Amino acid sequence: MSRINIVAKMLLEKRWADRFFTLGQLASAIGIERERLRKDLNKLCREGIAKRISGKRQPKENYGPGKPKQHILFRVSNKKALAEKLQPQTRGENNAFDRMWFVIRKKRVFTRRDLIILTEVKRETARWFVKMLRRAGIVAPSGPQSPEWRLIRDPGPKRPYVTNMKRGGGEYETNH
Amino acid sequence: MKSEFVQIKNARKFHQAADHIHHKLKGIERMALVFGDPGLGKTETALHYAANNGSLYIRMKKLMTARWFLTELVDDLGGSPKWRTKDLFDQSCELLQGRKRTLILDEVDYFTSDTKVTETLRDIHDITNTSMIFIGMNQADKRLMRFPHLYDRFVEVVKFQPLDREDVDLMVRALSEVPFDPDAIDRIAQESEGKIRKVIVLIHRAEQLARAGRRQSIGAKDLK
Repeated sequence: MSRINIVAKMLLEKRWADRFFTLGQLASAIGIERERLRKDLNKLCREGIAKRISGKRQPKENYGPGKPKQHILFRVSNKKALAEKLQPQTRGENNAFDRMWFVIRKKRVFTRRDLIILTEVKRETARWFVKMLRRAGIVAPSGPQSPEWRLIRDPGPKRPYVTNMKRGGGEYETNH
Repeated sequence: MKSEFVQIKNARKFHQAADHIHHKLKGIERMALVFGDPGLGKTETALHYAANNGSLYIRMKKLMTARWFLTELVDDLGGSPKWRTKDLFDQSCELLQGRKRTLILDEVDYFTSDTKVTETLRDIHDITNTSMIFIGMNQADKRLMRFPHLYDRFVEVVKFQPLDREDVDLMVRALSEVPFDPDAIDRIAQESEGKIRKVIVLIHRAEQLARAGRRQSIGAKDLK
């Protein structure tokens, strides 16, 4: 589980979800460094899940080196979004890449123009996807100057996850 | 030339037929037949529809048996095909019932000689209530008429017609980057014989000529 998920899980507990809390209180409860936790909480604030509220300014004798001038209070403002954050990330169904993969599998020999026409994607999207499939060793050009591409390896009906494949190929997720 | 799918009359008829077989009414069948001469865009229209609507598309093969078809169907549905034919049939029914998807079968002329395939398709349709679109070549309707229990289930029979002047005009406007004069469109409609492939070739050639001659528009005499 990632650090942000640990924080989100803790914040969903009743004792944190319904009250104001300081960075120090949460850091000691979870057992992670304040600095790292601050970054996570700031991220949750930016996403509108938590809210940052300035607390009372401390009397002069209470603050000094290493002690804050005032307590910063946080509060969970959107429990639903926090719960959604804990859900496993799923890919949208039949998105542009799924549609292109469907056409590639069915046609076997295709051009980028086929993908643009049949799946209604942008030229750049089709170009990028074919490039990534080529790096993964799934498609290959039909000839040196040919606009046609061939499917040389079929990993199945589910689209291979080939995001940001590096030059020279490598492993890719099949999502099976 | 622009890359765009043009909604000509045939494509619109295909979409209408697909809409008509998508219903939740009991006792009304969900099968449609689309047929026509080659080069009229049947397969491209079907692929466009399948890709954008999450449908299943299976191209039938000459040697395809019922078992081969079921294996391909289960594979496309994301399952691992089982070994025994009974299990394979149950598995395909289960997967189709789990998530309703239109099944598009291309080149249906091939299985008209094998009754096992036609009967299997009818069984799947009756058990799972899956919408099916059959695509065949010219005379596919006559071939399928030999199976009255299957042909009776077609609620929509669409014949793809050669492109008329209106369709050619629509295609030229959508695809060409150079404006065409009306007489040039007439000429393309006449020379293409209503075939999409020929229309595209003629548009491409005319665009090249326009670019070479730096013309603002293309007339009929430029297409010689």
